[in-house]
Amino acid sequence: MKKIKTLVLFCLLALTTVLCACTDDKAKNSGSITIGIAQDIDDSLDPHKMVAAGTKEIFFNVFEGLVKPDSNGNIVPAVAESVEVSEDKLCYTFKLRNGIKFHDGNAVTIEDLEYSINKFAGRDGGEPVSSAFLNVSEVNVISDDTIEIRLASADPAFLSYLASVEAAIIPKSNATPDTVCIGTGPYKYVSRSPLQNVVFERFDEYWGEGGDIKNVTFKICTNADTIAMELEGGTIDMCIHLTKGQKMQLDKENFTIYEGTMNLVQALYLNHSFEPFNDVNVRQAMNYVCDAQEIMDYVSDGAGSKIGTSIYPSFGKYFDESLTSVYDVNVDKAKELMAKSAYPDGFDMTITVPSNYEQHVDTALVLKNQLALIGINASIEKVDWDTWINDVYLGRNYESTVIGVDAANLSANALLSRFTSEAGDNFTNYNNPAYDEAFNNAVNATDDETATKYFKECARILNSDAANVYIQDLPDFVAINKKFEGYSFYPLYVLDLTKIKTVK
Amino acid sequence: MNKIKLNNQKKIGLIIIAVMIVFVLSGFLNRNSFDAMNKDLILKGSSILHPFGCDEFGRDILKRTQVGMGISVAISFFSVIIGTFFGTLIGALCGYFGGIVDDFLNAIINVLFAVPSLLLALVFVSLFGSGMVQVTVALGIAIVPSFAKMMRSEFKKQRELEYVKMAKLIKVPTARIIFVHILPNVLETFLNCVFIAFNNCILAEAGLSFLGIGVQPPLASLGSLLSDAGGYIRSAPYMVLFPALSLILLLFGIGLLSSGESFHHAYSKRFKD
Repeated sequence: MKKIKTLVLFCLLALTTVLCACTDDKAKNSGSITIGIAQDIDDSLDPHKMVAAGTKEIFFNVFEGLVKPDSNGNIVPAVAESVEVSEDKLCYTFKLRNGIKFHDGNAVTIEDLEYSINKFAGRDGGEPVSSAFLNVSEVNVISDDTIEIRLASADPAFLSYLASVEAAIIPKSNATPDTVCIGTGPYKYVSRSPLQNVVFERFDEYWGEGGDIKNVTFKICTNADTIAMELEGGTIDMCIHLTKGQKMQLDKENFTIYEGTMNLVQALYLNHSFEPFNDVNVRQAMNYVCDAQEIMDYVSDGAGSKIGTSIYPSFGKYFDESLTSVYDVNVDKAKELMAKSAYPDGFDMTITVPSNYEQHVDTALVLKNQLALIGINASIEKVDWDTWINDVYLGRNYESTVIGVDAANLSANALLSRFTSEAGDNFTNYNNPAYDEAFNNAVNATDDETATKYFKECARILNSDAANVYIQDLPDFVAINKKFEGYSFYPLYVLDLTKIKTVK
Repeated sequence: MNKIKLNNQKKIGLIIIAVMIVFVLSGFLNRNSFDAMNKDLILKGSSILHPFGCDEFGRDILKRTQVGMGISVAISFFSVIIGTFFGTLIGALCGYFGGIVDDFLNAIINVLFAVPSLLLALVFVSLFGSGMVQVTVALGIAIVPSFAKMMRSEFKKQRELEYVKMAKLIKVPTARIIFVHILPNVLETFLNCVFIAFNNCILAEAGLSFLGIGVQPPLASLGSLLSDAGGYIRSAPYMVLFPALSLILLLFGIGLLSSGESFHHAYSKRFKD
């Protein structure tokens, strides 16, 4: 009897599940998707305090600045409906978008704008989110829907600093932005369970086109080995930043694989304070002997794009294609250069790599074999991420390392400032007066054309001086279950949920 | 007279271990290099030149398994030497002298014993960096507590026996009593401990490598081979299969060798003869 009861109960349960699925299909735009992400989101919920790239990547959907980037790298209006830039490039006038609302239903007012700008620019006594905002000299409310920002000196890249999650507009009324998350983006934040998931929901009063899928759950998958299984098993519908190995495990019948780039400058970064690396001949020889194409073949099935300098291709106007072929593989030339240096017979060096990034460890393995061709004996030291951050990045206590460096916003400044001799994040200890001068010229240029010219000059110096062994912008694989479609890559490290749609 | 009689389990164990030794040594005849990459052979299956197939860099898995097993065994061998030396020394002192020496050393051992040995090794590796030497020393230290405990109880038992009392009476030097008189009598326990520790070491090293803190690439150990292959288990299952089989076989062989009461018989037989 008990068995029959259980059976009936089970059948009922199964039926309910099936029926639930039916209603789901009929109702339009009430679909849900589960997306696998590699790390827990344990940052502050205050966009002005977010640190991890992975946090900003998904909160791009929750927060918007006055302007925002689009997938082509253009800067388009967001909370502001329009922007006017004065003749002298010192005054930016923003017009508030009509009828725009926060996630709590309140309208965005000009006070909210003033409050947010003062907050992220560090004018309320706090720290500015980026040193670029120290340039803001005045924030004036002109009328109920107009606000102007005045700069102390012209900066052609100013709008690109504003087009980031760091410069989001948040409500003044929210006394605890650290824990209460209110923005203006197409998705609103619902909840978070530590080490489990983060839940977003579509914001139906969004000013723009908005998203298609109603419920979005980010499932935290810290175990890289199980991601492919979770995709195949259906616990997650989509996963970003897959490795070549994970991609290969997926069944092409069930998944669409999008291939783009990670928007990182992957290189063998050299510590210029370490003896052989202060010799330009050695550095150039290393560049001549390192074959980026071969690395791509091994590490990512031939995908990836060559860079040649600290700018990656998505940067459009700053990227100089010709620099990628300056150091085409030439072992004889490399040997000649080594003969000219103080180390004709080569030397020993250590490559320190963070063990959690498989692509960097694999790259180091291939590099080791390539460097052996000119007598450089490289040994590899795998360290955990915390050790890498402390010893290599902050402590600068290393010989060389393979890592990918990203850009916080769409200005060349974000990638190039770290190589000026005084920069706090100059972890390679690069020091070249010519570079400093070109960089200063670029930053102080009043018009975009001159700035671009000098930034390209900086990139050229890094290349001809062989500052590091530049390898590639890593390929990025995104897998989506065929039930969904429409992922698009950005020139920045962001995931735009509004592009993802349910297949009908 | 000196012949040690072995039971069938031990015979099979010895045969398996002999096969594994031949397998590792034949690596010297294998002309493939363990770190030479080849683009054309990426993830290629078995062939005559590469019977175990090739990995994601086109490296020969047979050669890597041979090298990896050699390194795993070498690490385990030296850690067992370190572990048994200190373990036996501490255990013998505790067990033989008792009293305050016992209390003091035993307290230290108990503290070490409370920490899981793999965790102990992890702490050591994170303090002194990863590498073959560090892993060997770390595993060696991890063995010490269990070895010391075992030896202590054995020495405590032997201390009360007539032959030790007699030896004391005729003023045989203490060191001689410990190492020449007692040690051979606890050899049975000692050898079993060594084999078990050796097995545990190979597993622990595989575990550490699996966590990415064992030997540094491109060098391989059984553990690092398995962890590298994990990501390709669907597309290239042979990458996991062969190193895993070798590891299982090796552990099985050692397990058989250390199993059962046979050593006792073998030795008592010897003494009778």
